[in-house]
Amino acid sequence: MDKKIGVYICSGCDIGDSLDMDALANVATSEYKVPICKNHPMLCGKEGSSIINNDIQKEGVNTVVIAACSPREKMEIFSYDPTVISMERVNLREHVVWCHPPNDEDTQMLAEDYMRMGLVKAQKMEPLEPFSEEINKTILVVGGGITGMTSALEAAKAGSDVILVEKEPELGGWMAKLWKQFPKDPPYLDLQETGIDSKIIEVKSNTKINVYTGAKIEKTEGAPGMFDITISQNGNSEKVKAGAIVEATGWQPYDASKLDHLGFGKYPNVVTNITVEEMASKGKFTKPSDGKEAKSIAFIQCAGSRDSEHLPYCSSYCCLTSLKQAKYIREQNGDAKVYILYKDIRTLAQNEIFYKKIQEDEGIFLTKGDVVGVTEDSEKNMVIDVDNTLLGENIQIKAEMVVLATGMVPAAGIEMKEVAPVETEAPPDEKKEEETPADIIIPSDILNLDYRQGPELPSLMYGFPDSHYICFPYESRRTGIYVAGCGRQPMDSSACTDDAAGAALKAIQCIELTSQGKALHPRAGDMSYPDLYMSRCTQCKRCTEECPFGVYNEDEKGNPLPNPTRCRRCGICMGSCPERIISFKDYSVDIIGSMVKAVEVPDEDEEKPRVIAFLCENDAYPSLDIVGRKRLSYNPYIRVIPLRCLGNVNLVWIADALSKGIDGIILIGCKYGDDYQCHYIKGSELANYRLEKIKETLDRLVLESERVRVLELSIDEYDKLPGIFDDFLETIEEVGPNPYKDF
Amino acid sequence: MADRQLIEPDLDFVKKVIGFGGETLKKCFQCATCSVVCNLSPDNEPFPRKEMIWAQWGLKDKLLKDPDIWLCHQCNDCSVYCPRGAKPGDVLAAIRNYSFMHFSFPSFMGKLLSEGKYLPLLLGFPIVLLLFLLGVTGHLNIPEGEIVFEKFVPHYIVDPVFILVSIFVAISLAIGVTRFWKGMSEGVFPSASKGLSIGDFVKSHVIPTLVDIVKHSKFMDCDRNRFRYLAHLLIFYSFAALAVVTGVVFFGIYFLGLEHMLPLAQWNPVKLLANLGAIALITGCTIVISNRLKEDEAKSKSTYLDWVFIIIVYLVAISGLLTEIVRLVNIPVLAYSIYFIHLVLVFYLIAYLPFSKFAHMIYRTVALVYASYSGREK
Repeated sequence: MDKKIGVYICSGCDIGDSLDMDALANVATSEYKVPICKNHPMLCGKEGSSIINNDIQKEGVNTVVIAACSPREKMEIFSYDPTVISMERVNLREHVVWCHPPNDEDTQMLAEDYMRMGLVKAQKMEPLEPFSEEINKTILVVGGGITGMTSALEAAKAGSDVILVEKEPELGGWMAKLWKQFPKDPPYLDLQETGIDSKIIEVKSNTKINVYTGAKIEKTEGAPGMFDITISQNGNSEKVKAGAIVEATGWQPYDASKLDHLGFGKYPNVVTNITVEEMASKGKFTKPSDGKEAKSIAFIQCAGSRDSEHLPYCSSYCCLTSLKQAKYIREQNGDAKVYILYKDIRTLAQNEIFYKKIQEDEGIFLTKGDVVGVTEDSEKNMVIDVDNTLLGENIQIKAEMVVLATGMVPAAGIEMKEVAPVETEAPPDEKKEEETPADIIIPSDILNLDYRQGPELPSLMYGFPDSHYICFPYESRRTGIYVAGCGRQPMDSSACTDDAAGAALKAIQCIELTSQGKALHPRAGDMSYPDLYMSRCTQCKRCTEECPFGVYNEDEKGNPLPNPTRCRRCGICMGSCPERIISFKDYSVDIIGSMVKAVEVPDEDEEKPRVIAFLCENDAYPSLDIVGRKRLSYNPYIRVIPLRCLGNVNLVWIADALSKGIDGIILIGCKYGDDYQCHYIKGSELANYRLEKIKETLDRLVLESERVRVLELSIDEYDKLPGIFDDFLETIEEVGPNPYKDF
Repeated sequence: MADRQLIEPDLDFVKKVIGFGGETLKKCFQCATCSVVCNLSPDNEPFPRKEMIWAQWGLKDKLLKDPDIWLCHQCNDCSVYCPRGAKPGDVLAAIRNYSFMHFSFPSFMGKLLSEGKYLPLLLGFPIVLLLFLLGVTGHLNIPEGEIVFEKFVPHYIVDPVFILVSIFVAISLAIGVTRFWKGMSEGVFPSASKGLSIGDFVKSHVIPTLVDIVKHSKFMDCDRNRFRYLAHLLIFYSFAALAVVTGVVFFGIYFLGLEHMLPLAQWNPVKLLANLGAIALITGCTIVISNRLKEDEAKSKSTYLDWVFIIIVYLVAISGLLTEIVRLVNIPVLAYSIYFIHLVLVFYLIAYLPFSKFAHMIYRTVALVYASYSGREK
């Protein structure tokens, strides 16, 4: 199909008053020979938008260039079927007229360059062809505890078929082992039944839920919408299909035997909070040593938690559990003394009310303090030494039994200590060149994914699966697999049920979008997907290694096997490919490279340097929009190109820009590291590593490495952008004009 | 480890303190707002924060040896500002009550005084005793002629009773105070100035403390205590005035041989002082009672011990004044009856002093002296 481009320039919002509109239109009509170029004072109004729709319908325009406001504005008005119409937006408002002086030579040059860049891109974009495959809409839930069961029920209520796999012979998880739970409903004062039995019945009687107990997942193959799962149960294997997966595999208590300074394993009367639940359901709190009732019991909080030697984090449930268990004991025996020795009492949200209530029991003695050790005296009493207590001194307490409030270890992270970080399998000679910290994938035998990057979800910290916590809980780094409940982060049962519902909804959303060939967040609805020109592939494996979402499997020869429904369309593979064979129909190495080349570079004696700014569209680009909205001004020699992710940057763009005489290149992406803000996890980090490499190349070309700068920016730092640009331009001035300018 | 203190909570003690009006003590979570807002608390190991957790943990021993509980003059700023709704002011009052009951001798008396069900017994005892003595000596009738109370209750009946009672009270208090002082010396704040001569001790610790008490300067340190300051000052000085009157009359009868000096003429300066004292006492009590009735329960709640003490004092004052008025208007039956009631109430006040809230007068004084002696004062 022939391209027919229509350019529509809006003169509203100060654009018409600040720019020479005729000269701008001239760029399209004369330089780029665009057949249709129209101008309207309010393109987003009814009349304005109908001009474009008319041209599409009557004139056969199939590529629309809208030169108006930021592409992040008026998206619902300028919205066309991407399978038919290609659209490019030229940001004249936020990036040109709102932050540069009106009717100024430099401002006009900037606007014309943006017009050129937009036109070049429009010329090269192709309509999208959504990926389509037969989609299975069943949701697989792994784990039959409170989270898994809730997730299954919520999905079933929303109309999905559900497969629930539980490794224990019975459903219920930890909740079934609790005698009672701390209050969940107003007035948050009294212990409650767990209600797990009725939930189990509800799950079992729901015809849309197919329950496998005493079962495990042997293998998970495929991709969202088309997972093939092998479930083994009673020695038989069964293959099922699913569209999305909820991993609700919960937690295990921290291994108390590692806490020998607290006497566990050494003295029989040191037990864990799990044992106390068992005692409570038997109705007697007896010393394991002699079976007699314990009349004084000391709870040691944070037993192994918030301790860099053991679990560095707070499990958030232990304080409430000990308060609850203190109540069990006091209800049973009004003369019993219960001590609670804590680092800090953490009773989140309304649970503070329950804490206050328990505190009022005269037989419960609370103090902050550092437990330094537990020993036994000659009468078999446990002796607990506590330093820095609220009592104003270092104290010793005698109790007949000690309870260790141990924290939660995610089921996915149990094996963590035994596993060293997985080294990437790059050939030895290529090592060190481009090396980002390797992903940690713990073989926890939960999903057994048939993915090239490893059998389970990559973990971030402490063995919890990496999810994009800041914006999107439940999301994991494996598209279509959602983590909920204590497996995601420590939480109590009511938070688990919320999590469960959230993950179920995410799973449904995944299946629905996948069935329409659309991407999930953050590019939700995007129908493009990477296309590999395989005949030029060198099997270097960079794409298969670097994809943060594990999109690519590999064949024996090392050829990448893409799974488009696993793809988030970030384009990190595009940046990784040295052969530049990975492209999207509307976004490719060639398209961005051409945009770079479309920038007009003035002669050296004009003293107008040119800088290309590659901005991540998630944080840096919108930050610059804010700069425009706030009317902050910045250097007019900057030419901004938005990227899906900084990880897209292919080194050829840098080479193209420099060889064309561009004086400098600045790349601004999201923060990376442990508290990363990159929407694609490691895109900005990869870009940084790759750029390390280009600096050596620059030095070889006798080009100063200062000409390329990589920065991190979060969206709330928009006000730093003008300064960042000024600072970079200053450096460029010091370094001097690009010597390749005159070639 | 030598510096490690074995902590053994006394659950009964916690329950007792709660019973004496410290029901909020368990609410404390040791933020120390109370100690920060307190104007009287010393900078070093300030009260009432540490007392709150000691009480929560039932650390009876520490609290009984703690002079700080008496440094508090209960302005209740702490209770007003407590973010958890604990009332340290009331808790300290409860601990004080527990404390003097604990040290008092004989200790069963403390129990009788602290529970309402024993009130009839405690009032019944002087009634029966007086009636018995009057009966035995043939005075169980209304005397004829001008109203002279000595005709109804002769000095040789009433005075020995009160002299004996006073000796009992003095011994009881001496034992209690000795125990208390010994306890404090073994406590958290040992005396910093050991080996002081008695003279120096009195000069540098007792006298300044007494001057403070006479001036009520501690009361003035609590901003919120202005009204209570006035009331307490009135009551304090009225008691002083009435004590002077009693002393003068006693001296007159037994040392000057003025056996029939009573009743004094209305113009007599001693009589004037007595009347002034009575009016001041009634005024002071009225303020106290009205304050207590108006008191926001969120700030402080008066207990049985508080109420029974102030009401007895109030009734002593009213019955004393009424006795005089009815005598002057000459209604013998009424005058003698009210006088009898007055004697019973005075008996209650004096005989039970070591076991009632009246004991605070002694214990607080001793604690303040100790505080000065141990360098505990702010």
